[in-house]
Amino acid sequence: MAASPRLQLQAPYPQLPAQQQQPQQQQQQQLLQGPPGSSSSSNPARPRKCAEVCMDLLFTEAVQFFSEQHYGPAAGAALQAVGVRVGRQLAERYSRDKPRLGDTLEVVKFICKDFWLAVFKKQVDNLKTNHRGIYMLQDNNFRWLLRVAPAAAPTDGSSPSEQLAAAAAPYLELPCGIIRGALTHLGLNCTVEGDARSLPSCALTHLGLNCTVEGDARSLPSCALTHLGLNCTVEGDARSLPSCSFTIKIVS
Amino acid sequence: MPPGPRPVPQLEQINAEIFTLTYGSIVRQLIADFEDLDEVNKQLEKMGYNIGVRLVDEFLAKSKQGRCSSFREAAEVVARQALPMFLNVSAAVTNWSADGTECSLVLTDNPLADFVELPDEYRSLRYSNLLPGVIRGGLEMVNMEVDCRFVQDMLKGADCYELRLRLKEHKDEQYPFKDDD
Repeated sequence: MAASPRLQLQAPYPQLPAQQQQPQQQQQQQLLQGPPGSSSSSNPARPRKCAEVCMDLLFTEAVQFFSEQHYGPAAGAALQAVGVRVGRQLAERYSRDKPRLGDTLEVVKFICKDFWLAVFKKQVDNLKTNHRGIYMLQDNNFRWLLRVAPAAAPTDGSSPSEQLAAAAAPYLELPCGIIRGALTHLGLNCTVEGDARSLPSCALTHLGLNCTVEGDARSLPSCALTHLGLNCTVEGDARSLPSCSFTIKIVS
Repeated sequence: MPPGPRPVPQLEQINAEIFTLTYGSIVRQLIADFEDLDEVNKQLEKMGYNIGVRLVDEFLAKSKQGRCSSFREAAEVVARQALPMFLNVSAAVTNWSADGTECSLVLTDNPLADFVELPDEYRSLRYSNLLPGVIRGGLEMVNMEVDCRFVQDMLKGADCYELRLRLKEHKDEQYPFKDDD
């Protein structure tokens, strides 16, 4: 979907670079500066905090909501779109005071460390690459999925890990979108696949297979490519929550 | 229950901007999906309701708040305990109706609306409509059926955010299991 140009989420700091200034910006600053001692969001030194449970519940409600509103791939696409916007904005803010990131590896490392820490409260546990444009990020305790568990034992003959993968797939769309939004903002065209496995060896094999989807958890890759027109696809697939990995494939 | 203010329990915190930006992105997605702003307002409130229904458990577990004996007490708890606990902002409870069934919760700080500017064509959008839904959902779980809505919005030029909270019904504690279930 095309980004709506009108309802804009602007950065809070008044001292934005000139090209981003618009007439409305002045108004918005007045809004933020309101009564004394109000918003601490306009003070970069002391970022505003809120309880983590707010984000948890907003996240799970968003997944439920969009899954009900849309059927099949469209639900994932909507959640991804939500994530991509967030990722872009976050990357812009977190990389603002830092020197421009150089090569692909630096960007991926930024995602693994600073970015992951800021968004998911820890660093990525493991980063692997095949040195041919594929990176795998492993998070053994992915925070956003801590509360997600399958409701019942599988009845359709699938293994428990496949069932987990299916249950968790929609929950991975938003984080994948965030990662992809951030990477795109930082100049990388890529696909991002979310995939939870417990064993490093499985993941490596996964990379070697050029990221074919295993199990039925994947709803997106081709849909995302055409639907969003970006050189990124995000695929979510969780087999051993809360451990999951995100595979980034650079396509250009 | 002993009267007087309680210390606000400290929950695990995150940088609010993730929350704020995710909320904003959700609002934008709803606008794209529904187009009709009244419908978006409704959906935001509904999402808020679903969240409130679950959030109240967290609140009751962490605050060890006993049962509120009155709507008046509940309103104070929302404004002085729940909002600070979850969003690190507090509200004032004012403008009570004569019969004590309506009041206003007034906030000057609303994390949901950080960084947001509402262009004129979105004037009918109740951007922060998740919040009244959360309050409605939470209070319903403690047997108070309420109506909650924004009557002042800083995004629209007001000098505060004012939520009008109206008690519709205070149900007696019902036995959880019905005979015909």
